[in-house]
Amino acid sequence: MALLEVKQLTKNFGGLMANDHIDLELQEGEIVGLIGPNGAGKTTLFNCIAGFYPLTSGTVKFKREDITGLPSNTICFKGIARTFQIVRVFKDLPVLDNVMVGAFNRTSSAGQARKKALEVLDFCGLTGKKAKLAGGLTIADKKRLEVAKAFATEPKLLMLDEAMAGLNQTETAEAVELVKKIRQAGTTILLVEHVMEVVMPISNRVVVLEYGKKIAEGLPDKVIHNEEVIKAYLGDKYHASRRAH
Amino acid sequence: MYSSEIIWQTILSGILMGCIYALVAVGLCLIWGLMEIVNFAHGEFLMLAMFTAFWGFSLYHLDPLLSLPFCMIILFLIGVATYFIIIKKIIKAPFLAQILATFGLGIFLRYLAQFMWSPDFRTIKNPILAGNIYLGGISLGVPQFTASLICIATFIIIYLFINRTEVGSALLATSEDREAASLMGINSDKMFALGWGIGAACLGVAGALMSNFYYIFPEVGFSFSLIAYVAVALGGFGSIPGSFVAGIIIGLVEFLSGLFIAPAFKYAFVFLIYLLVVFIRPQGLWGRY
Amino acid sequence: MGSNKKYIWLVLGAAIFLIYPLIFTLPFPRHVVIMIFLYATLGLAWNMIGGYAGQISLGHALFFGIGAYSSTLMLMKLGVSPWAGMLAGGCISVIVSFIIGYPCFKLAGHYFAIATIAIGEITQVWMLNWDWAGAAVGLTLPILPESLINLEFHSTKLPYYYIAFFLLILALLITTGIDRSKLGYYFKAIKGDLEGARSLGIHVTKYKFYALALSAFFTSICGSFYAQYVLFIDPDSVFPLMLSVVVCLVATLGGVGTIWGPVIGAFILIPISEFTRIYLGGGGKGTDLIIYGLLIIVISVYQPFGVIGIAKRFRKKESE
Repeated sequence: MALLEVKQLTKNFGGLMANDHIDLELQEGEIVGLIGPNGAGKTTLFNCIAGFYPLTSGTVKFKREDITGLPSNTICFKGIARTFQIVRVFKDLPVLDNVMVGAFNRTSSAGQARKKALEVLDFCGLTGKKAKLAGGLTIADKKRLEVAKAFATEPKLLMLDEAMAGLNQTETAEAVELVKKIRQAGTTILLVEHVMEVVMPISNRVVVLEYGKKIAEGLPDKVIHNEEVIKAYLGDKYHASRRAH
Repeated sequence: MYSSEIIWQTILSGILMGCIYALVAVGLCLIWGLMEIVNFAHGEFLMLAMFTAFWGFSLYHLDPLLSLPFCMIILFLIGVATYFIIIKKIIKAPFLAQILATFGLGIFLRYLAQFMWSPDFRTIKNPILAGNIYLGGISLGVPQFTASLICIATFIIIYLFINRTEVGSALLATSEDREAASLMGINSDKMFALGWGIGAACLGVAGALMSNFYYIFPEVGFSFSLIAYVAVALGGFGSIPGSFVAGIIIGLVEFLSGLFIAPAFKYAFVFLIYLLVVFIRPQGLWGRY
Repeated sequence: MGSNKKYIWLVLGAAIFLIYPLIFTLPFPRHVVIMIFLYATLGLAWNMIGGYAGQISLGHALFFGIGAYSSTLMLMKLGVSPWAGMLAGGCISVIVSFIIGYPCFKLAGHYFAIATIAIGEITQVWMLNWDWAGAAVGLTLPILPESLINLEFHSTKLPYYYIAFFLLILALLITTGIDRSKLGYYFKAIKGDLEGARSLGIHVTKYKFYALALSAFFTSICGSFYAQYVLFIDPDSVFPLMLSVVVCLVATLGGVGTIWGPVIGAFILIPISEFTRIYLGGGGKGTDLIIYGLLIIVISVYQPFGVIGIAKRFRKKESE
């Protein structure tokens, strides 16, 4: 059974077709990479699946249940969590409190939430910073916290929107380890990334978007050699060099 | 029922007063659109302008029409000073701080005025602009009529300034995207100060004009503040012509509801408009919300 | 502060305030502290929606007035005990808060604040013209024999003092409870980042309603108490914009979104108000408001987190 089934998802912004009849299926336990040039519609797709944008047409099914059009907080409760490209941490709250907010998704008891949050902090390597105000963290830690609080909601599917952007080599490697750990813990992952060296090694499958359409899908090795994909990324330069010959 | 003369009288009076509301609203819109900070002390600036004209008259026998340029300049300076002393420091502050800062300024100015000049109502006796003119059976006050003409003229000048001059374009650019504008060499600090200056100067003009026929007292600014917010919301956030037209509409509504319903409720009606606008059509009539 | 030390301070503080009116038996010192308690409770109530949930309301006098008028009208027209009237007023306020919240919560920041001002002003005008409820003349409460049931005391302020103290303690307990609970965390998340809160499963509108309802209920109770204390109410004393502003200021000065902030704010502002009225009262009402105005500016520009914010910064500097 597919965990997530996206059928013919279309999102139109008054004339701009940000997502054009996209089909996507996620199996449980996968890590799927979503790539494509800037403006391809990756974040829009996230927003549509997670209930932040209403769909123009199409359906989204999660665990066989139709979640199209549900509000974002309900979708989180049903088991899809997402992070934001520009992190949305609660900067005036300590790191622990940030994660507790996520943990409260599954419990109403503050004691339980705290316990869960401490576990998640440990899992994500943030225990040492638990009392620090989120606003004072480094960018790498903020991104880590962004993942931690989403993870604390106990999602079955975690959607990461450019969680590695802006990190240096070491930080990126650490982030990749965290993503692997999360998958090992049983959470399916859909990640948007521009950093190819990150996406390709850890993804089971890669999906490529361009101008709102899905142009390729498959194993990372196959996709990277796909002509359409190369054209999408290198575009004019490729054409120009072709013509010159 | 009311005779058609009374109705027309009310309509025209409403429009005339509306022109003044309109200029007050334009001032607020300029500031609000420029930096998304609402000037809750807007009415108090107007009150200061009115008192400036009043003291000019009482102490130096300067007619309000002549002191108009002074009021404009003094208010311009007050606007710029407010920017540098208070506003600049709260641009990045939490929301609550932004709302409270100008609110506090308004309260401070209002009660300081009351303390220094007493709550008494003052008027300017026998200004140059006085008397009535008659248009086909309807009598309109000369001060109100002249005031509305000057307000319209001021609005046109401001509109041309914003849309046809380089500085004006710089202002527009800053309001649209501060960072992009500064990348193009536009000093946003100066632009903000200019915006506050011009916004306050509008009040200088409006205040000097109103001192000809309106009561002058410390609490006078309050109702104008609130009318200004409603006008900016109705006209549409960021639209200066929108605010102007909205001001006139509000003048009309206020006077007509005062005639047909009850004078006591006229402000309540204006507020009702605000609520209707923000609930039903948040972008106002012409805005870029 | 270690929790033992904290408890000692709390007990000490409670003891001081319990004994205070027995030492200072004149009406004025008792009145000042009663007003402090009242505004502290009002500040705590405002804090629920304004401080914790971050929705700045400048129209809270609406609920204060509803409380005052509800219990008074029920007393005068139906002979109902003010305690029942207080609860009824609270319920009416909660219902009104739902009606207001529904459209208003769609508004962002400045627009929401102005909308609350607009609603407050419309209500005041309405009440000024509603003859059945006394219009501009107001309502004078009937003088009933002194008793707890009647919530009226004429020979002494002492019972008023303890009732106000009790209300404050209640508000503090509830605020503390909320601060540590899911409700509190969710409020803070909503204030911190709305979309971020949604992405973590928070039904933002539902929680805004909770915050406003709680806030409205307690503000209303204070209004009813006020009516019974002063024995006269009119639209200008219970519905004015200045009341809404002072309530907001009390919470902000002390420390918005904290448990003790409003209490500290009340302890600073109310004495200023009461004493300037006596010593500088002269030039018409409003001298204390000049100081308030300045305070508001200074706080918002230099320390939006209030006194508690200053204390925290201090503590941080010490530990560095």
